[in-house]
Amino acid sequence: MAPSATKPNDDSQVNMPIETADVDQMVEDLFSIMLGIPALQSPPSADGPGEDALQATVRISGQWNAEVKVVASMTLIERIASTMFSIDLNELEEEEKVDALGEAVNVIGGNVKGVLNGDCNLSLPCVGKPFDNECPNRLIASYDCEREPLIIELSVWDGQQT
Amino acid sequence: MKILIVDDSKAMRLLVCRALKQLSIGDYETVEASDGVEGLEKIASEEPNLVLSDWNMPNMNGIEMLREVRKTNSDLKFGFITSDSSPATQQTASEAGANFVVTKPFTPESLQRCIEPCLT
Repeated sequence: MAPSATKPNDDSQVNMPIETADVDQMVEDLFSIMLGIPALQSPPSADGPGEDALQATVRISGQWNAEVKVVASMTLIERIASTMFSIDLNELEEEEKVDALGEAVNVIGGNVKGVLNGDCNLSLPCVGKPFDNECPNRLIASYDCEREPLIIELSVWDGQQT
Repeated sequence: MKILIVDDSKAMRLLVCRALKQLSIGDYETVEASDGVEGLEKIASEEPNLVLSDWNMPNMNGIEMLREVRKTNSDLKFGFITSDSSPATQQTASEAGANFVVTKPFTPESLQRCIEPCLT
């Protein structure tokens, strides 16, 4: 299902309501508690996540309008899916990789919504090829997950603190 | 005891099943559904003792399912497993008759703490 919030625009004046440390904690909790894969904050990988990378997004709409994006290399996605489904890497189906990355962004998106704490809705995850939403108000954090790159992007283009 | 797990993510249903296996909750069997509509069908046909439901699902979400359940059944134990930990979500869940809300990512211990009171 496609995200339903309004699109970002260049007139956004909203302050970023979440700090990088908040995102770091969410990523660490997700990867260490649920997946057992260490996620260490790191500079962006020079090579990027690779051409076969996928991104998963969820939109937050309502009192806040925001988008949470997770971009991961295919190798990392396969590790996440293999862990979630408890099956060998070479037995993974495409659907399981999409489900795993979608659930990862769903968890982080829900955690972000919890921090924003307004009257908001969270969209269902949308998984596909990476693209740039060009929102000017973005927080970008990158991580090293056992030598595989993971990028989290939080874009906020409208909202107010409760 | 029968536990119904409702989540549109097969991965998350598996993670919940795996966590349940680590708990000390006696004998149980699990039944699964992938959204609120299927969840209501399984509640009617399987008569579970406990429902563990995601919040954000297609077709019918978790809170809509709970409200439908509570129209006719006030006894069924019902808990949410959701990534949204906001006070607003906790309040909405409580007002609709949820017994507990577990926040993702969860540990077997946090799941046990929430489920245990429902089993007495």
